[in-house]
Amino acid sequence: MCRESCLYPFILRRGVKAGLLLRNVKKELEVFLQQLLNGLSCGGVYALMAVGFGLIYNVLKFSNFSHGGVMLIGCYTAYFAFKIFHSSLFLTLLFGAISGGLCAVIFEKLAIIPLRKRNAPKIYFFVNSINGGLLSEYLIVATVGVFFHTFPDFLGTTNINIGQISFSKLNLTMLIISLITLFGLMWYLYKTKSGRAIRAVACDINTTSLMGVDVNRVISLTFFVSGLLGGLCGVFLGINYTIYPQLGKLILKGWMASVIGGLGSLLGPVVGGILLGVLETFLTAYIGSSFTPILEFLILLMFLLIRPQGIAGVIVEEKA
Amino acid sequence: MNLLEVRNVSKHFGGIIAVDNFSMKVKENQLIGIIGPNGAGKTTIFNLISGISKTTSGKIFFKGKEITFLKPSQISKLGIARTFQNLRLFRGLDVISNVEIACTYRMRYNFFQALFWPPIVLRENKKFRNLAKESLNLVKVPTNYYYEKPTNLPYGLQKRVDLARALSLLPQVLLLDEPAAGLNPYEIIELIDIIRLIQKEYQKQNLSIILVEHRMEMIMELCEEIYVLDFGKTIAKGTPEYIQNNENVLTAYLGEEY
Amino acid sequence: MSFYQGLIILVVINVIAVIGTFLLTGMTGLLSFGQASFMALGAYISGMLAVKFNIPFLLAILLAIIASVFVGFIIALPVVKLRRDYFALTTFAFGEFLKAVLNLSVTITGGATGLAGIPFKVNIWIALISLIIVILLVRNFRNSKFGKECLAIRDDELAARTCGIDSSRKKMTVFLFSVAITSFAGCLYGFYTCYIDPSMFGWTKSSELVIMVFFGGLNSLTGVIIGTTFLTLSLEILRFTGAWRMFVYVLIMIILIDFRPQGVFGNWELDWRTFEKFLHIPSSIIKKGK
Repeated sequence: MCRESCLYPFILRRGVKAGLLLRNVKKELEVFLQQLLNGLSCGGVYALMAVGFGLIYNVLKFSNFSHGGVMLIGCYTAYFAFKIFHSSLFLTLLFGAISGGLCAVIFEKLAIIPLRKRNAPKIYFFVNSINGGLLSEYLIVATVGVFFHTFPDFLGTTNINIGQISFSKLNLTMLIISLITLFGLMWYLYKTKSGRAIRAVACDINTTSLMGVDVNRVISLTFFVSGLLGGLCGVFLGINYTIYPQLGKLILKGWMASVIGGLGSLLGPVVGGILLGVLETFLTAYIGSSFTPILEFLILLMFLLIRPQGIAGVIVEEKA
Repeated sequence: MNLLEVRNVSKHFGGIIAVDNFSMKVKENQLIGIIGPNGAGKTTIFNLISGISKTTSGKIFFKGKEITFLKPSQISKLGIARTFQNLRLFRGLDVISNVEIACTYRMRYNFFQALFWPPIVLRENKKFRNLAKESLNLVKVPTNYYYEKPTNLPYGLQKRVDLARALSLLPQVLLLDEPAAGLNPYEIIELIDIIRLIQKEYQKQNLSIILVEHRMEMIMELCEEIYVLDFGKTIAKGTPEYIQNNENVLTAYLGEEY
Repeated sequence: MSFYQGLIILVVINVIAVIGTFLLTGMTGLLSFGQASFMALGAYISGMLAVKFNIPFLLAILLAIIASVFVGFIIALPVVKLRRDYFALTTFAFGEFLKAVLNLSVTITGGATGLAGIPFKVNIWIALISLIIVILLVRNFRNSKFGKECLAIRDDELAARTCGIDSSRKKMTVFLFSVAITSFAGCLYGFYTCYIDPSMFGWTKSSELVIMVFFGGLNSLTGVIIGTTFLTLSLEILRFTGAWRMFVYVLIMIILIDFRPQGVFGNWELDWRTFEKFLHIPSSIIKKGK
C-alpha cells in the first residue's frame, strides 16, 4: 500500500527531471546551431580573406601581407562612399571591392614590379608587402585619424527567426554574398580565358610567358582580382567589428586560415576560412573573447606540427 | 661487402615513375657511370642516395649500414658527397669559404667557445682553410680567385669549386652530377684528367666515384661499369664495350650521338 | 640625465634589438615578425623579478634571458623544419598571442595598464658597455663556423644540408641566440624607462626592427648599426612632424628595397679588410687566419 503511494511521486519527479533535461538539450542544441550559423557567416568572411591572400601566393609564391592594407583601404573608402552618397549595402560593397582592387594594383606598381624586374629573392617581396600594409595604415592615420568609425545598421536590425534561433539578416546576407563571390571566382578562374591565364601563371610563370601570354598583365590582373576580394572582405570586417586603422592586422586570421586549409589550391583557403570562423565563434561563445587568441595560436602550432600542408594541401618536395 | 648498395629502389612522383626498381652495387675504388636520356631518372637517383628525396620503396646501404631514411646532413657526414647539375654554390660566401663549408662540421668548437674564445676559432679556421686550399689546388682553381664571390668566376671554374666543395667532405663515395655540362671539349679533357687525379689522390681512402653524364667521351673513357636508364628503368648494365654494342641501348639512346 | 644621454640610451637599446634581428634575418634569412615580443618577454620577466621579488638587476636579466630562450625554443621547435614564410608568420602569431596573454594577466603583469616601478638601472655607461659586449659576441659568432653556416643556409639550404650542415639545428641555434640578444634589449628597456606595457612591444615595433635590418644592409653588421642609429635618431628628432612622418618613413623603405635591395651599406663592413684597402697595408700583416 505504502509502496504504491510512494511510486507515483517518484515517477513524477523522474518525469519532470527528464523533461527539464530534454529542454536543456534542446536549448543547448539551439545555442549550438546559433553559434554554428554565426560561425559560418564569420567563416565566409575569413574564407574570402584567405582566398584573396592565397591567389597571390599561388601566382607569385610569396605571402602577400599587403592584403591587410587592401582590406583597410577598401573598408575606409566604402565608409566614405556611404557617408557621401548614402549608398545602399550593395553599392557600398561594390565601392569597397573596386577600391580594394585599385589599391592592390597601385601596390603592385609601387612595390612588386621593381622587384620582379630585378628577379629579387622572395624575402624582399614579403618585406615589401609588409611595408605596403604599414603604408596603408599610416596613410589612414595621417589622413583620417586614429578614431574608430562604424558602419550604420544596413538592412535594419531585423532578424530571421527559426524557432528560438535568430539569424540577423545582415549576417545571412554577408554569408550569401561571400558564397556567391566565391562561386563567381571559381567560374572566372575555370571558365574564362583570363582566369585560365592566371591559373597557368600559377603553375609555371616562365613557360606561360613562352606560350605568348603577357605575364605582367596577368599578374596585375591577379592583384586586381585579389584586391576585389580583399576590399569586399574589408567592408564586411568593418560592418562586423568597427572601422579602425589597425584593421589590416586581421590578415593574420586569413593567413592562419590558409595554413589550416592548405595553400596551393582554391579549396584549401575556403575550407580553412570556414573552419577558422566556426572555431573562433564557438571559442568566443564558450570561453570568452580574451582567451580565444591564445587557444587559436596553440591550435595553429599544433597544425604546423602535425599537418603543415593543411587539410587540403600538398607537400611539394624540393628537388636538386 | 659493398661500399654502396642500392637495392630495388623506386621513386614515384604522384603518377610518374621516375625511378623503377633500380639496383646498383659499388665497391671500393670503382668508377661507375649512369647514362640515359633526359628524364631517365639519373639525378633522381642521386637525390635518393644523398637523402634529398625519400624513396617510395627500396633500401640503400652504405658500408653495410642502412641509410635509406637518414637526413642529407647525416649522409654527407658518413662519407657520401655530391655535386649539383645547377651548381648551387653559396653566393654570399667567397670561393674559399664555399669549399670550407664542407669542413665546418669537423671544426672542434661549440657555440659558447665560438662566442667567448676566439683563439680556438682562429686555430680551427686556419686548419680547415688549408684543407680547402688543397682541394681547390687539386681541381686546379687559380689562387687569385680564392676570395672572389663565385658568381664572378667563369662557369667552368664554378663547376670546379663545386667539385672542390664536395671533395672537402673527405668522402668515400663521390656523386658527380653532369660535371661536364656547359664545358667545351678542351675543358672536358681537363676534367677527365682532374677526375683521374682525384682517383689517384684518394685511392688510400678507397674513394669510388659515380658519374652521371651525357658526354660519351667522358663515360667511355673513365668508367669501368655503366648503367643505362630509360624512363626510370635500367635497360642495360656492363662494361663500356658491352654497352656500346647492346641493342637496347643503341635503340633507346645512342643513335647517331656516338 | 640630459636629453641627449637619454636619446643615446634609446638608440643603443634599439641597436641591440636590431642586431638580434640581423642575426636571424640578415645572416640566416629567417624572417621573424615577433622580435618585439621577445623584447617584451625580457622586459616583463626581468621587470617582474625586480619589482615583485626584489631580485638584483644582473640576476634578473640573466634569468629573463634564460626564460626567453626557453620560450623561443618551444615555439621554434615545430617551425624550424618548415618553410621560411611559416617561420615568419608563426613568430607574428606568437607576438599577438603574447600580447593577449599580457593584457589578460592583470594581476600578475598589470595587464593593459602596464608594469610600473621598475628600478632605474641603465645609465649611459651600462648601455654602451652592453652594446660593446653584444657587438663583440656577434662578431665572434659571425667569424666562426656558425656565421658561415648561417650564410650558407640563407643562400641555399638544400646544398648546405648536403655539406654536412644540419640546417634545422643550426637555425634553432641562431634563433635562440637572436632571442637572447633581443630579450636582453628588452630588459635594458624596462630598467631604463621604469614602466612597460604591452602596447610598446607590438607588431609595429617588430616590423620596425626588421625594416631597419633591410635598411642597413642584410650583409653588413656595421651597416645595420649605423643605419639603426641614424633611423632611430631621425624618428625621435622628427617626432613633432606628426602623423605623416611614419608614412614617409615607410615609403622611403619601399623605394629603398625596390632600388637598392642590398641596403644602404650593402656588403661593406668595418673590419680589417676596409682598413687594408684604405691604408694599402699588405694583407699578410693584418689578416689573422680570416
